[in-house]
Amino acid sequence: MGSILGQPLESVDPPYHFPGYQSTGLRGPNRNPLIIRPGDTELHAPVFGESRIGPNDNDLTAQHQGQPIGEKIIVSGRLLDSRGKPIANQLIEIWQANSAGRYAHKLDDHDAPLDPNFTGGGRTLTDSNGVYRFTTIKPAAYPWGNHPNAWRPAHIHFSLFGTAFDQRLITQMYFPGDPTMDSDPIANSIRDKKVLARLISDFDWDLTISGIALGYRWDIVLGGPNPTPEAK
Amino acid sequence: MSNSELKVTPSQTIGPFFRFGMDWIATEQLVEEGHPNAIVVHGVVYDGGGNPVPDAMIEVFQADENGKFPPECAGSWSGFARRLTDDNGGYEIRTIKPGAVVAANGELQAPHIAVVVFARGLLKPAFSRIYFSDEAEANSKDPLLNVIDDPKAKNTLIAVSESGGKYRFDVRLQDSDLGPETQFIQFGV
Ligand SMILES: [Fe+3]
Repeated sequence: MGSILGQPLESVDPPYHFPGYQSTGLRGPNRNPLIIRPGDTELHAPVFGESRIGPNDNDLTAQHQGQPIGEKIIVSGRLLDSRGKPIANQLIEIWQANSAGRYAHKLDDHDAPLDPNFTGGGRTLTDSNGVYRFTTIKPAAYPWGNHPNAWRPAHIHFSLFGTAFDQRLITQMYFPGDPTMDSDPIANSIRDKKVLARLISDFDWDLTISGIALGYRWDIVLGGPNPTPEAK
Repeated sequence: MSNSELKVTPSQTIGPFFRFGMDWIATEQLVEEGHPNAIVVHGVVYDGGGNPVPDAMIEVFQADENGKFPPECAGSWSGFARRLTDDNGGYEIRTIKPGAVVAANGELQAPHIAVVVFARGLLKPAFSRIYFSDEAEANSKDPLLNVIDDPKAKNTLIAVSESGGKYRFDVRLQDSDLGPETQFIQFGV
């Protein structure tokens, strides 16, 4: 029997070390990873049933007594593997700042108001076609201490599972036309602009709800060396 | 379906402010207290300065006692647990040792838990595995442990058995005075 050592896939991910993002300095691993072909453990994935999801978990504007302040938006798209096969019934989690750029997090000391009607955490399961849909508020940019006058472009954090644990991904969705994007070291740790563009959602009239919400479409493709088999 | 590969979505850091979005399942255990085979895996995440990392997220995934995964396994076994590190960088998970599962080359593997670490300052996940120090015989035949030549690197994957069914597994994101960087894993073909 052969070794389980493998050849690396072409990576789209940023490097562990990116000098513009200071926190990578003491935290990014330095040693070469062991490259293996995944065994059974990493070829399976957790299953989160319907019962785990509450009725307002995918509507971040309906989790409190009143309406949150800000621009109501629909964020929707498909979760796919690299062969284009939908990843059905899988968990997607999001979290974000409010419309003033403030997180409901005890360590966020940005001097912008909290919104009692907005926490900013949500989750849903994809449907049988891999489609997800959230109703939320457009988050604002926020300042951070990385360098003088550092601002994070408006973004929504996404946490994603595939059909194999080796596909586990956490990333950020950005909005089209954001003027702070070019100076953000976290976004630009992805050096290839074409790859970075995959994190920018599209404004989509088809997702809008007249008089209520604008819409942004964002499809997500999970990598990993063993895309979902065609059939079992 | 065509063979054309879609464009894979790249990773970004989990950032510092994930707690309120990720905590809804972050206290769930894999087995209930009093389970006859319960073990506790615990440890601390450290950075390259030997400082604990209080804003990391650890997730584990493993087979059940019979080496089965959801949805094939019996009962409500999820195989999955998530922890957000505490102010001292610590985490603790109650689980069981998984049954044997096969490697990519078909060989049986020693009992192990897949682990992935996210943190502010990590632009992409850091995957690894947790093995057990009291499984020396199985570990000596494990196809993954056996391709790690450096014994110090190999040791970083082996949780140290303590009293009371506890196992200590620290994650070192880099070399520091506390020890060598954890041997991280990247999945290839
Ligand atoms: Fe953020």
